[in-house]
Amino acid sequence: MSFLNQNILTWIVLSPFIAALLLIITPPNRGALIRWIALLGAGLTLPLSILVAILYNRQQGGFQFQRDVPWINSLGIQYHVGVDGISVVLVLLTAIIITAGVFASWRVQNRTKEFLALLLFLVSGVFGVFVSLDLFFFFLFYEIAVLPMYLLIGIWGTGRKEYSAMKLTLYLLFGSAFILVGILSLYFVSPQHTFDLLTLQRSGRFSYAFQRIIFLAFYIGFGILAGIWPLHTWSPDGHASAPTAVSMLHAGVLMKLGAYGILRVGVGLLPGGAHTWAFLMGAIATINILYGAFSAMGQTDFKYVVAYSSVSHMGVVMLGIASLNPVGVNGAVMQMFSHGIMTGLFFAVVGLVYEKSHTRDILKMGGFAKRMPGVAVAMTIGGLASFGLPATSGFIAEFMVFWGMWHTFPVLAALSVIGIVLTAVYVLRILQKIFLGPFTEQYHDLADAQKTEWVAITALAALLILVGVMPSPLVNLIRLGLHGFHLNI
Amino acid sequence: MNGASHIASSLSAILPILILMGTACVALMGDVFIWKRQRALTGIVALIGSVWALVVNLQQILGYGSSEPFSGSLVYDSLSQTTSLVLLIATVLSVLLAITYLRNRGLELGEYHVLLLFSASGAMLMGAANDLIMLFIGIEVLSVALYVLAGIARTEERSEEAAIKYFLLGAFASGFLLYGIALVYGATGTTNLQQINHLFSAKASITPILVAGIGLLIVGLGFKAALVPFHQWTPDVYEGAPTSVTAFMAAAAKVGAFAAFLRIMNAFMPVQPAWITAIQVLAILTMVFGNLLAVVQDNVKRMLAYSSIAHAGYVLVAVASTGMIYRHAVLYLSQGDRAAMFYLLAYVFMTVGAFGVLVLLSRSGKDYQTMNDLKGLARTHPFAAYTMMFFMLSLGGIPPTMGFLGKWLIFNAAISAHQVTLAIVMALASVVGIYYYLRVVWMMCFQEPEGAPATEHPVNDWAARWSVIVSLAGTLMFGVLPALLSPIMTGLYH
Repeated sequence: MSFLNQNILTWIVLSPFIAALLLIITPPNRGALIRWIALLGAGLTLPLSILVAILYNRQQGGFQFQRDVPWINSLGIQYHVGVDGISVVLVLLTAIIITAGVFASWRVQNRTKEFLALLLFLVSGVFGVFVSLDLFFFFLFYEIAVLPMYLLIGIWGTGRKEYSAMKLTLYLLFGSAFILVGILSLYFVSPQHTFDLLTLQRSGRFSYAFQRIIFLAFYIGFGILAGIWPLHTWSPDGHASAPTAVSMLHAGVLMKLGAYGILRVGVGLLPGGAHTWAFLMGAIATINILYGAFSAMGQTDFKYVVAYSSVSHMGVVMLGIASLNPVGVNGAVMQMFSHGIMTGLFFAVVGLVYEKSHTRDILKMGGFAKRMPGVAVAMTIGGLASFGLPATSGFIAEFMVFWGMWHTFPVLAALSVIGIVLTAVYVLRILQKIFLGPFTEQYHDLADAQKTEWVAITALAALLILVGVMPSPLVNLIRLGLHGFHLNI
Repeated sequence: MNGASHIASSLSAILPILILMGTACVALMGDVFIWKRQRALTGIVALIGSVWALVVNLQQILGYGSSEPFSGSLVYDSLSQTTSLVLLIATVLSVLLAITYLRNRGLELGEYHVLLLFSASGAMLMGAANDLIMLFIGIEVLSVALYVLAGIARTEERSEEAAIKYFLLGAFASGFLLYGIALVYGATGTTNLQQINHLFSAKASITPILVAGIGLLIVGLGFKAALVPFHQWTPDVYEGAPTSVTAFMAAAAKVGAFAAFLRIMNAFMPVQPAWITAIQVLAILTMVFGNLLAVVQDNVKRMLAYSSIAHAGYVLVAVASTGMIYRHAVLYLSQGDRAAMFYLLAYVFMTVGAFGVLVLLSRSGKDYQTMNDLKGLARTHPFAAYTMMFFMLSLGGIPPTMGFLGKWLIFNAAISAHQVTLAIVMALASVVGIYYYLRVVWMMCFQEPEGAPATEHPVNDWAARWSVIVSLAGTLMFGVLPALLSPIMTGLYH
């Protein structure tokens, strides 16, 4: 049991990585074998992370399943992993999305092997960030998670893919330059000269002036990945150009890395800095919500609508973090989970619709519900969760965020609630234009989702409702993770 | 210590250099008198000699000894031994590249390998110099051989142009260096670096003549290390010289120059205020302009030339972050020195590897040089394309490669030495770097191949292939497990 306890997180990180290595040596013409290896590598993380969520000791709380191996002693770098309530939820989310993502890319024909290998490398990095308790490894995994995106979009994308891929990469690496400077400053200012997150959190008493500057570096660095306005412009382009599984993973999980970084490193280690900049964060988050929603309303490309809705929803996450009180932050993590599942579902639907109709222009579509009823139902559930209808996961998340924000900055809370109305407008608009109305005969060979695609979209849609009806297991788990943070009560 | 035993111990300290020079002489004589036209044999002899020197060098490092052979004109400590190690690795990899390249391009000349070995021994001498005169001799041995090597493709005009440019500017730089040495001698009364250090440790007085001397030394070495604004020769020479020479030049000349930088700056550490600003300004200029100019290049060799300038800037950040002095007659290296040496080793693997891929592809009819040549390489030459991609990622500083860890160590050193501005400029400049490295990846992976596939029969490219594989293995292995280097780098901790 103790063996399992110590190594289960390492296995979650390694399982996609090993599968990716196996894929590299598999001959490219063995299509079926390649898909099954990828599914196994990605799918194995799902039972493992469910196991972590079940075995996580609720009485004890704190960081569990820790493993601590010295790596470069002279620099104070160690391989230290562990999860608290927040990371358990995010690891679970990642496992769900990558499994669904492999299902959704079951029919990628062009260089399947390389595609799936890169996807698995990427997700390995994402898992790594969520479980790392050493800032060096945190940064290392962060970079590993960001870079495969360049090739995934550049080779398998559509539209202006080269432009989007380069823009995305440069924006994100520009952000990581700030993160790097921030991490090294923490290392040198801390009395122990360590990268260990727990040690830094326990004993790193950083001066107020230091916290103020370095928090800002982390906010900008991670914020670019979280899509904060006005540094979000890489995100709609990137999402729109990326192939389905990559968009799912990117909007569903990768953007959460940014928010998670701000929460874990920024708020966790530099609470003073966080309190100084809380209003700024809240104001930018409000702009994100409104600006993203307005932009989504104006788009005619289905994928851009979903991409801008991600910008808007990440604003809700950032709003929750900016509230700096337990309910708001809890809501932020819930929103990360909820939005991850929801946006995964959206992009899967966009992929299906595009694959079958060969268009993404919503003005040219109509009446698709007649030919693809299953997809239409899934999209509707996702849409309802998107504007926070009760009994969907979006409701509980947004409710907690706005409730938390109301106690900190009521004006911002009031302004950002308008976002819900705007969300309803654009969600209903796409539902109506695409799935309702008269059917165009041009699309007579449309078909509903098939086999593996069914698995992906049904599971995601069901989860949205399940979490909406029964949020307490997740909410309680997240609450256990909030003890380490210095939040307003 | 009596004379004979001093000479014996001195000779054993410089054994790796002696082996290299001896091999060069054997190869030269053999090429002329014994095996005459069988030029491949010269390459093999050079390879055996440099591997032998590498093994002896490793033994010396693991012996953790330090000595000052030849009455203190040379010093054998961890810095010079590590420099030698890096240089010998570069030499072995370059000899392997040359064996393939010379045959493929029809340039099989015996003197190539001879000059290469002499040049490498000159660079090793620079790393071991404890006296400014010794340093100058090292630079000249390194440079004169390189001037000839740059022009070794006698039938190509570009190669001749490169050689003459390199020679003229190099001679000019030597002049600066020599004048700087003269002024430092005038200010201190000695050319021995250790004595200079002791002199200033006792009483640090900054005189105008000293500042001028140090300034000229920096200019002279700046030419050799290709720092902005003394870099103008680099792109032309790198482009014109045969690719295998460029690989060696980029690696060895730079390592030698930086070893000399570290030596001199450590000696002048007590008067740091006199030179630190100059180094900072040079580092910023070099990083910014190296990266920006690399962006607009269409020739891969020129791009790599500008990228090597940018990397020189990164190493200079480490030089600016040194902060240790002689203690008990032994040089203690600070984090800056360690970061610089680690980065130089990473740089050797990455750069020689990247040029190695170009060598691997080159045929008698076609020299792979431009971005267009690389189009669609992932389809036509998957091995070359994917290894090239890896070197590009490492040069860009992406984990899990040595390039990433090297940058991390330099950041680490810079922030610990309170050079925060340099660290930030370096971080931002690296982002620009990602753009042009990824452009190569883009050309190889996203573009369709141009023109008909090469129909030339496959050539015997085992040597270059091994060079690339070793570089790849080094970049990856030490990037993931840097602890493997610790027996070698421990000398640098103390």
